[in-house]
Amino acid sequence: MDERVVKLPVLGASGEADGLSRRRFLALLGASAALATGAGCTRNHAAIVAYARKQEEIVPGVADYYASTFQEGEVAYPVLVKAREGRPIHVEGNAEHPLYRGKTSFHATADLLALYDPDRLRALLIDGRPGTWKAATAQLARALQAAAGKGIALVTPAVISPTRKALLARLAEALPSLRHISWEPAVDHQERQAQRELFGEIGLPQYRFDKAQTVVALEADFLGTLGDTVSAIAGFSSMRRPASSAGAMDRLYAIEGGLSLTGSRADVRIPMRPSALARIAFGLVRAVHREGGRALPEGLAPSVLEPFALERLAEVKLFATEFDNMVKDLCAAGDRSLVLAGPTASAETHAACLILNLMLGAEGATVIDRTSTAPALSTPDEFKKLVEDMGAGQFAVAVFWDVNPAYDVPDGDSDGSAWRAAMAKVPLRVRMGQLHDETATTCNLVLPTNHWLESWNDFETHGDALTLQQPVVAPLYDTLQGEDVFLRCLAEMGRPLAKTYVDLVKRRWQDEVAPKDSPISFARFWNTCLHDGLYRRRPAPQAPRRLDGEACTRAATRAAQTSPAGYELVLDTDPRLFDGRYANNGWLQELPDPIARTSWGNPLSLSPADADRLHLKNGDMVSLGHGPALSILGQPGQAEGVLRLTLGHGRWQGSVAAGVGTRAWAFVPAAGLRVAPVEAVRPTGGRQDLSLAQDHDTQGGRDIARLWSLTEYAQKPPLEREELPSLYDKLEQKGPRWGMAIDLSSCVGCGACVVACQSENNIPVVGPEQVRKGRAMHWIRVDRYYEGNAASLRVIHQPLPCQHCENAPCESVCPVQATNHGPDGINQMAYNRCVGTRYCANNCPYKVRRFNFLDFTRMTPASMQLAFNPEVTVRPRGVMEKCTFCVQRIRNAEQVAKRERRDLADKDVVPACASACPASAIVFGDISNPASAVSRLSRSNRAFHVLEELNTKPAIAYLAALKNPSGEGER
Amino acid sequence: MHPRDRFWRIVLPIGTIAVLSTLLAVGYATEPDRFARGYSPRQPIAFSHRLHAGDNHVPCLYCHTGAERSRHAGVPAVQTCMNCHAVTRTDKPEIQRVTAALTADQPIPWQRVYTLPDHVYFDHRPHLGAEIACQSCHGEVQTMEQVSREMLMRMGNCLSCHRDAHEAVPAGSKITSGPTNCFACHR
Repeated sequence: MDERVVKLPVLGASGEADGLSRRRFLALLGASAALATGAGCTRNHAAIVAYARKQEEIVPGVADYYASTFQEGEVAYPVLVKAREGRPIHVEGNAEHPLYRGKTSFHATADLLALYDPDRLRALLIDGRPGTWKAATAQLARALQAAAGKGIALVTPAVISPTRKALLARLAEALPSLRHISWEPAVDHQERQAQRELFGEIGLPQYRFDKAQTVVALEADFLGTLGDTVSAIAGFSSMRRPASSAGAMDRLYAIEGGLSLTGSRADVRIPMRPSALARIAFGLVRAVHREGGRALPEGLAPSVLEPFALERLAEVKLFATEFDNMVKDLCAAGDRSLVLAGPTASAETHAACLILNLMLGAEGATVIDRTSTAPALSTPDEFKKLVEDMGAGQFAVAVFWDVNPAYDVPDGDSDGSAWRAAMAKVPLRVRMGQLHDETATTCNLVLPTNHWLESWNDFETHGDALTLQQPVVAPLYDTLQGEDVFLRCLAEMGRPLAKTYVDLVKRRWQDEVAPKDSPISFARFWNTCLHDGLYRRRPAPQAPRRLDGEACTRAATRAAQTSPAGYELVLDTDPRLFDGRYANNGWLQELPDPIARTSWGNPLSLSPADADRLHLKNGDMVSLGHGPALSILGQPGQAEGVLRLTLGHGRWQGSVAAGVGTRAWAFVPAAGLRVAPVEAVRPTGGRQDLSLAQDHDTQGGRDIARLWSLTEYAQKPPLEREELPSLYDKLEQKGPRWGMAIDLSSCVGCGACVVACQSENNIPVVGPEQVRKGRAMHWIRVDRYYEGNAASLRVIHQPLPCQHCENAPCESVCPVQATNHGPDGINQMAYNRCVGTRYCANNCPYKVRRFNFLDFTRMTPASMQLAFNPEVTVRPRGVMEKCTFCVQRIRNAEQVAKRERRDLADKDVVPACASACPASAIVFGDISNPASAVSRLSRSNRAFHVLEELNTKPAIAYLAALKNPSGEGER
Repeated sequence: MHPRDRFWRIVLPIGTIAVLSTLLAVGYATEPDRFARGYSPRQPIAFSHRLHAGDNHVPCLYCHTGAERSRHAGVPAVQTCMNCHAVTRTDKPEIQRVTAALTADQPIPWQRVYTLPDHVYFDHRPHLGAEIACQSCHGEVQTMEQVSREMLMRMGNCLSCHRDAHEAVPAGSKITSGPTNCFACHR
């Protein structure tokens, strides 16, 4: 037997008490405990079950990637799904797509959990009893045919799939009494209303932030919640990292009530009640016309704009200088400017933005209109009519496909009883979806459908490419794709269209998409598109839209009449849970809000001044007159008189979602509206503690995250790093030295890195109680700091993973050498050696080490353990863990390079966080190679280390965030 | 002797040693056979490595294809057996069982001989890249009728070679050692 191995018992025998050092004792205790307890986990005599017939591309132990598409509302994100032995384990962006270039929404990454959600419906229910698909589709087909005289309601989300659209058209042909309501409760209905009014048609605008020099955002959180945030963040960030202090940088003005992610990144931010926005926006129209000399659209007389004269706008007087600068910047930028508003701004504000973009020439330059690809969504009025008609008993069948109106129908003034009464009048209520959710519990036919990772489809948004969705795994349970249910119904009705939906998609692509008279066979074309996940094609040229001048006048007249209410409650979509569809996802529930830093819940935020006046502290409960009581959070930067609550919480079905937060839809006055007047805020006397991920709001006078204005940056001397004396031995380096550069100027603080890391590294979800105790397990967190006072609040976001210090304070205090330094500069953590003293976490100045206080992994439901990455150890209770720089990706890249007989290239290793970052703020690589991208960034004169004075020599360099405030001249 | 002195000088040390040695003894006794050399489970098909790899000189990588491309060397799919046995020795009952498994699309539950704890990420690829013969770890498989475990699956065993690799690598190899840092194998 090996000598080193038999030494252990010998040591124990001769170890007299005085000869046994504390360190030795602990080491011994750890080793023997591991010996005693570790026995069970290695008695692994499970059989090796190799394939009977192996697919050629599958090599056990090597990940496969499949291109697919993830839909969210009006947007389709192309993704690449990583699968191990046929099991999807991670979702990243698809680099082939011309617009997204390998980036995707973190909702797509997180929605992997929905595939393995233990709450998923596993079999269909007919009147609450399990049934067969044959019986269910027959029943549905019979009911649909019988309802020909009466009405049939079909409620779906936005239909952006051309093939699904074709299928639904065929269904409508077969069933003339079918009323299709395409309902997205959270999209910007105000914007659509303004477009309909001004242009007579609706386009899905694509904003080119990468071309915009001056951006004015009116209640528009384009970085956090507004539509396609991924391309917005990518474009915006590309304008935020000037090569030098003289480089080009855009300028963002934000006028908003609450503090949004976009507001936190703004160069000039003005807190303002939403009711004042329409006047301010038309004030901008007037000023751009008068001072910038830009022509007003035809039909809009200057006299109509007289009420918006600067001297008559009381709100603007408070920020007259900034307003002047804004007008100057807009006029100077011309077609490189961009004005936009969000769903919590009124239709009149949107109208003013559309007019401004036309006047400035931005329409067609920074705002690309995609009329042809805009999905036909139902208007709030059409939805309201549906509910009324349901209540009047006009429908025999109602089918709810992937929508959850029982949860997200606004209560209005009926307390939600209108919806329940309307549902009771429909004899056959059908729910097609994945969960037994709020709507499913009120339906008598519940048909479980496939997750998007089990489905076929095609999507069309942002015209440059058609994307394909392909199943990565066969349906886990007895489910069908929604489209297939209707195909079976059509067959039952004697109008067969295709055997399965994939046949229909293929047939449509063969007939309509594949280039005609091409020498390439369709089979090859299809396989190539499937491999790439998309088919590129040039967008059809758009005819310029004609603006209706009279409509502009009407909007301006209405804008002049708006008046503020007592309090204004702003109801924004939640950056994590969206409209509530992701509420059953533990990763997203635990992801802290980027600004408030709360997880597991949605406190009502109000301005600190209002909170003081009402004598309220964070966590105190208040009542708004109707609806549920809410716990409050004093939010710096919020305008006085504004309350803000996010939608998406407060579901009552789902083992994760139920009972978390408050249902904000209860406060929505009517479908499509997102601002509600509130007369008074009354404390109820109760308290509910918030799950805060960060309880320090400022840097406490320290220099942790740097934020400079461009002028300050220009005065900074070039970087000089002095070598401080150290007691530590110099690192013996072999091969590359891994490091990271994080550009705080690019980072918008969205949290995509946190979710990607959680998915890649098997990080458990701990729940609200543990978060309150400070036991969240995220390996990377995005700290948010406030600077300045209420009037000039500056916000900075700082992603903070383990710094992999060269002189790591954690290493020297570990009694068992469980954490130490590798030759490649990585601060290693050997879980099986850790005995859980937590000395390392205590000694870490960055507080990035996470301890398994409970057996979080064993609390993970069995089906969700399928989402684990087999390349990363699952940590048991009592073990310390932290960021490893995704060492599994490094090791794999090394072996791949070796096999290809080459050295590692700079971009070979991309950790999950860097890969997911839509802003490309995180760059990883070899810092000992002066030519690598990360080295170049680390040498920038914006580069600094966090707590540099401690001489820990972190491997992560941060680049100071830059602001470009107005009044600093043209750049 | 003062009772407190007795506690510090005799009771505590002996108690500690007693507790420790109990833990160690229990640990050692309940330790599974990953320590044991010679573990040789009966396989569902009486496949002979001596016949295939020894007498017939079938290269290891013909069946264990993953070793070059993946962390896992892998066990071949049933189909791989049929590359030869579709025509060879089809009269033997064991071969007929293999054919039946493929016809029924049923995998064969081969018994695991070598096993590692979950926190060890052994990778076959660099070991093949260093031209280390399979036999260095797996023993003279080509002489075994039924494969038995030849290596003690303990970290010390890995490390002895990673510290000084001259016995495992071919003569004249530039490689003298392997990495010995934690993250080389644990992650």
